[in-house]
Formats: sequence, structure tokens, C-alpha cells
Amino acid sequence: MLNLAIEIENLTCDFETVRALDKLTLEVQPGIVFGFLGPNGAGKTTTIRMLLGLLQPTSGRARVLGYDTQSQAAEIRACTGALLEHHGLYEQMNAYDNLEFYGRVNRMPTSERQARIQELLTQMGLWERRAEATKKWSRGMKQKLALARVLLHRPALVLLDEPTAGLDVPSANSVRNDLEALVASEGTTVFLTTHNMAEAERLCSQIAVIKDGQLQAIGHPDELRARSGSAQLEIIGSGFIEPVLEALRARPEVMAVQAQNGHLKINLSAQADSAELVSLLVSQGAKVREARHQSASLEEVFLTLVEETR
Amino acid sequence: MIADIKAIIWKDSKLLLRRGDNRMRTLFTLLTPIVLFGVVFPIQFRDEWIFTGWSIVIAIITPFMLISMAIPESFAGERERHTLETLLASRLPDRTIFFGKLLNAMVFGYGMTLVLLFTSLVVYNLVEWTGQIQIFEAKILLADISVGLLMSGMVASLGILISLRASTVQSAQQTLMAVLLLPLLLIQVAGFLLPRETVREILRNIDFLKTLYIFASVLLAANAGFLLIGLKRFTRSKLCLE
Repeated sequence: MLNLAIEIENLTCDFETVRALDKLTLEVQPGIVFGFLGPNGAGKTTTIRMLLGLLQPTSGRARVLGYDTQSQAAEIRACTGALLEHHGLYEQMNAYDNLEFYGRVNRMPTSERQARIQELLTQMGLWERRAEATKKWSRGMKQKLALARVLLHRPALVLLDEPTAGLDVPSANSVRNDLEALVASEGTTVFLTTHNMAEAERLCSQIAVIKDGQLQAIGHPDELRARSGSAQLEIIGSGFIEPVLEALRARPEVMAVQAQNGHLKINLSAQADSAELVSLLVSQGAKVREARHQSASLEEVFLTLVEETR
Repeated sequence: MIADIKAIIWKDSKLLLRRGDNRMRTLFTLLTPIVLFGVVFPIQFRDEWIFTGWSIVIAIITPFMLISMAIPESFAGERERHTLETLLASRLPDRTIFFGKLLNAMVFGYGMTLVLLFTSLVVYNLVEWTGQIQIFEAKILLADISVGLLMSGMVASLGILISLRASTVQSAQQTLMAVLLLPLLLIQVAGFLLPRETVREILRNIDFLKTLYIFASVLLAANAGFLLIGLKRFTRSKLCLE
């Protein structure tokens, strides 16, 4: 059993004058879905290309499934599956032939290949349409087929670069369900880049946030939320007039205040005592019907992390 | 390696036959040389077709026409369709991808050359039946087979070299055509500039066998050169970034 599925150490990549990755260091445990988040141009795709040995680092090193990305790239590509920026399907060929080709490429024996193609296409709900050229398919169907292609040879590690980007809500949800089911049944390690925080929160047990090629934070989604230290107090009531809001803003633990339609949202620093704030509101003449303490969402944590250094 | 090359050929031949979404156009492209070289020429040239080496036209023109149509698809087509990076991320070794694509174009072009030579023989024998089957003279047959192979290799290796760097199939096709037609253009310009008497003298003194040897040697050298440059230029990181 491998100790680590991915091990990246001080990985740096320069493209002429641009530094795409800057001493990136992280580890991915086997058997988990690892989310790799970052704004556009943060270095996510470059990292995936380096993990596949498609790009050489300027300095640093990375190991994937125990293989070195510079000297053992062929071994890495043999036991991983990758869904990159584009789905990579041959749209003039039918769905079955697309999988057949990559089954042959992965040297799967004929009977095993046929059975696996049927199994995956059935699971994805595409078996009945296997003889159709994929060019007429919806984007969601193509993405599902691409996912089936990635999982075809039962890779130990799957690298997915924004697999639900550009899909409508039902299609994205369907791809996520398929991914969740397949990962659960086959125990594959997944390295997933996404812009969708709900997706990351739902699928990932570990998340890393990257910006300008540098690692900003890493941990379980709950840990990241806790580490961000910020919390939100939501109060439902009335009388949230400007002098009341000014009194709140004057408090040092209050970072931001927003009132709308009887809802008051107060962003707090870590040390805030919400009971004191509720007392203050009442003393200022506001009526409080309900008060809820909420931790920051992953999206807020992400925005804080990527905007901190801006 | 052979199984991997076969996988590439299997896929590329399927794409070749579904080229441009139009099977009729593919059929027309294949039927044109069959009708022209396999039927019209042997009927028109009669005995000269079999005994004077005119059939070398098939060995030169068929690979030129068919491979220059197919080979730009090899890498420029994958790049245009956004399938190249996925292919490069697979377990296939560099040389397998390179030779798979090269051989696919060669099998297509050279295979058609052989089919056309055979078809022209059948047509000639049907038209000029003398009571026994007539075939090419041994040296003509050898010249057709070897020049066809060398021509296929040359157009395929040059085409793959251009396709490796071209951003679209169309630009690869245009560049390949320009490079292939350049020597013909130079010969034509030379023929135009030289005095007529000199041209006539050169044509009178041409030795078929000697010219063939020179032509085959040039093709062989071009094959080796283009192949070596192509292999050197095939680097995953460059292809990935382009």
C-alpha cells in the first residue's frame, strides 16, 4: 500500500518571464478526493500537466504513485487517468469506439475491455446510445463519456481538471453523482480542480488553495473554515436603522454589517461574543426575533485566501 | 510497440474514413485516382502503359495526392479537435504515436498505389486481351513498387513534420503543398529560362534507369532526413504547450 498518492516538493515552473508554480509543496493521501482550488491562472492546470510528466519543472520534484514525474513519466501515465481542460473525445467516432480505442491503448484484453465498456456506459446511462457519433451529444453527455474513458482501465489515480465546467446544473450534478459512485465503488484517488465550491465541499475530503503558483492553505473543508477564524451572525427582526448599524460598526469585533428586508448579517472576528451584540441591538431599540451563528462558507474562505495577497 | 501502433492506426483509419463528416466526399477522393489511373490511363496508353514505364506516374502521383490529404490530420487535426493533450496524457510512448500516425498515412497512400497498379493491369488485360495475361516488365514493376514506397515515406514524413507544428489542418495542408510543389515549380522555371534546344537535348539524353536511380536516392535521403527531424521535434512538453 502506498503511503502517498502524490508528493510534491518545492515544485517550481517558469514559462519565460512568468512563474506558473512557485515552490509548491503538498501531499495527497491515497483513496481520497483531493480538491485543488484556485482562481484562473493560479497554476492548477500546470500542476496537473507536471504530475503527468507532460511538462518538466524548472526546479523541485514530484512523485505520483511512487514514480518520479521526470524520470518515470511513462509509468505514471500508465496507471493514471486524466480528464484535462478539453474532454478529448473523437467526436466523429461513436461512444463505443472512443472507449475501445483507449481500451486498446491501455492494453486491456478484448473480453475484459468489452465488459468494462459495457459496465461503464451502463452506469453512465449511455449504453443505449453507444453507436451514435458523439458530435451530436450534449456537453454533459460528452463529459460523462470522457469520465468513463478516464476510469476505463481502473487507474489508481484520476486527475480531473474542472470536470463540470460549463455544464448546466442537472448535468454537473449528474457528473458529480457518477464520480462519487465510481470513486466509492473503486477506491480510486481523485485529484480534482474546480471553481465550484459546492462541488469541492461535497466531494473533497482534503482541499488545497493555490494562488499565483503558491499554496495558500490546505486541509479538510471544516479545518479551512475554522482556520479562517471568521464567523457570521444572522439576526432576523426589525428596527435595523442606520444609527443602530453605526453602533454595531463601532464595535471592534464587527468586521462588516449588512441589513436587508429584516435580515441583519454581521461578519465577526474570531473572538466575538454574539450575546453582547444582541444586547446592544436591543438597547438601541431594535427588535430581535431570531439570532443564528454561522461559520464562514468555503466560498468565503476561498475568497479571503485569494484576496488576502491581492 | 506493435500493438500500440495498431491501436493508433485503427483509430486514425476510422477518422480518415469519416473525414469532414462526409462519406461521399471520401468516396469521391478515393474513386478519382482509381478511375483516372486504374481505368483511363491504361486504356489511353495501351501497350506503352505496360512496357515503357508510364505506370511510374501512379507510384509518384498517388502517394502525393492521398498522403498529402491525410497526413496533415495527424497532429494538426488532433490539435484542432482538442484531442492531442488527452492522447499525450495516455501511456503511449512518443515513438509509438509518431510511427502510428506515419504508418497510417503510408498504409493508406502506398496501399492505394498498389491497388491502382493492380487495377490498371486488370483493365489493360481486359482491353488488350491477347490470349494470355500480360504483366509489367520486372524492372518496371520493381521501379513502381520501390518509388511508390519511397514517395509514400517522403510525403508522410514531411507531412508529419509540418503537422507537428501547424495550428490547423488547413495551414498544414497549404504548407505541405507549397513545399511539395516547389521542386516542380523550379523545374518548370528552369525549362522556361533555358534555351529550347538545350531542353530538347536534355530530354533526348535522359536515361530512364539512371534518372530513376537518382530520383530514388533523393527520395531515400529525404525520407531519412525528414524522419530524423520529425523524431527530434516530437517532444510532449512542446506539443502540450502549443
